[in-house]
Amino acid sequence: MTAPLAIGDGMPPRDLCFDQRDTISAYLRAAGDDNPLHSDSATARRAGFADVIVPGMLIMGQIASAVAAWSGPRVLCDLTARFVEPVVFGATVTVAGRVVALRADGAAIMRITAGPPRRPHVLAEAVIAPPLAPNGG
Amino acid sequence: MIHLGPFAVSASAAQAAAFGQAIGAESGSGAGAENLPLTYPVVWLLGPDCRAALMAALGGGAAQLPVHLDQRVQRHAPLRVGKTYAMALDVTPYDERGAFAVAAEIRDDQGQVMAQLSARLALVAA
Repeated sequence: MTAPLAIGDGMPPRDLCFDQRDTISAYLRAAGDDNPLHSDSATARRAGFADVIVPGMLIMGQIASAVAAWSGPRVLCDLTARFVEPVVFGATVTVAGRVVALRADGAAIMRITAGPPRRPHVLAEAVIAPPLAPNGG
Repeated sequence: MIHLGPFAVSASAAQAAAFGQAIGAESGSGAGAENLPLTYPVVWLLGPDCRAALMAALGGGAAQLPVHLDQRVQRHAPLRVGKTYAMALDVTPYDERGAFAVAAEIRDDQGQVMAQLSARLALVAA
């Protein structure tokens, strides 16, 4: 049986490196995303960015993966991400999270940050439900 | 508010696997290989067909590109690989710089809401 999460439980920091074009292009292909802000440096610079920007949904997806891996058989059922600052190609962001509240239905609320230390580029909140019963209920 | 859709949306096993690999795979999300990753529906939202409809509805064109300000994904029930769902959008322009909010509901063939998305996106000049 999986122990319930408690306030203060923390997801260990995990680095996400966005310094490989292949990482971004694999996501763009998988997502069918042809937005040139994520693939063409000239377009990104014309739009005011230092270089191509990492797709927010790639970062959010990797946050989801990190939370899911950490939370084991529990169910990540709700994830909100606020993109405070663009993550530019070449960056490494550190993802960390902590359970800050518990709901009456047993779900845990986790606050998550992603970015350089003390300067998060992404603020996120996850709702992690208890594991599903074996019969799926 | 602008209503768009519903759009028929689905994902093959290969598409789901490629997406899962690209985001580092959600191995512990309570979903097996038969279920889509939590954030997969964003693919449908930002895919060329849906994005084209969004941009047309907002009066934008190729010279404007969307950038996420925030995104929420809620899963009420697992979305299955290979199954077709209906995704309907409500789009609300919310400031004079072209930013807009979009809310999407994904329903199964019984009309049950399986997942909801909400996002705010800004448009930047290309």
